[in-house]
Amino acid sequence: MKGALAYVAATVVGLVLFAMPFLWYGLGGGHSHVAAPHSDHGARHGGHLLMLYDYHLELVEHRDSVELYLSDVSRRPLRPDSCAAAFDDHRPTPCEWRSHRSVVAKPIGAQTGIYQVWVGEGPPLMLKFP
Amino acid sequence: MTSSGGPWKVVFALFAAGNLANGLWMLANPGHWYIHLPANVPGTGPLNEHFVRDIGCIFLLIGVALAIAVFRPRFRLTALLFATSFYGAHALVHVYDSMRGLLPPGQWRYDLGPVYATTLVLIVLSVWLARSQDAGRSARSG
Repeated sequence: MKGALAYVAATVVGLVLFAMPFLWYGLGGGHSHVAAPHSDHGARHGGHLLMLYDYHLELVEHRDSVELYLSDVSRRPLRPDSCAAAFDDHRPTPCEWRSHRSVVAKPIGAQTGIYQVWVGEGPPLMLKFP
Repeated sequence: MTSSGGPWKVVFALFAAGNLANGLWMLANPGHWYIHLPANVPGTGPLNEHFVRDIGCIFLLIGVALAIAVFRPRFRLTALLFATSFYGAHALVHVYDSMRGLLPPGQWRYDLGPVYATTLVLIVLSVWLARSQDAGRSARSG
């Protein structure tokens, strides 16, 4: 009986320890700070933060590409179903998902982009920048 | 409970599994870890894949040490002290950052369980294991 209790206690302690690395980040506190809706409009990747209804889209422009970081109303990152961008009236180019953001190729010297982002059902989110 | 007993094996195996899983996830796919960990990790700032992998290394090493300790009872105290040192140092960083205001007010309430209490559990386990090993040595020499 005592031996069985020791195993039960060991399992409980073990499960707590198993979860430790994940608990650090997973309890809404710790390293985590979920923003209240529409309370955080800061760019996090050195780009331009834009609003699309209840979504946030940060655009980080490079010489020949643009990175798109989509997040929800509380700035939790989202992976769009798909996205595309058309620069200076060229045909839309589809985005490519890389690691944690969408990336779309941009013609060098292009001035204006029209971005389309698909999230869930319904029409795409669209915006023109700049 | 002796230091070579089965219950310790269970504790070490589960603790090793958590560290190995998290470490491998961070090393294999930092972007996936950053987005899919059930938390708002991005709230801490943009992803730095290199830093995530750096931290993944320590989780992996701790996991490996704990996994070895599952099968080598004499290595258990060393492995547990290794893990406790890392988790304890992390808790001290939280204390320091809370005191200087880098972490938001009231942060200690969130940290109480996952950061401070669990570190305390590790310290208690380390002391317990050390005493068990001492008792075992005394019994053998006596």
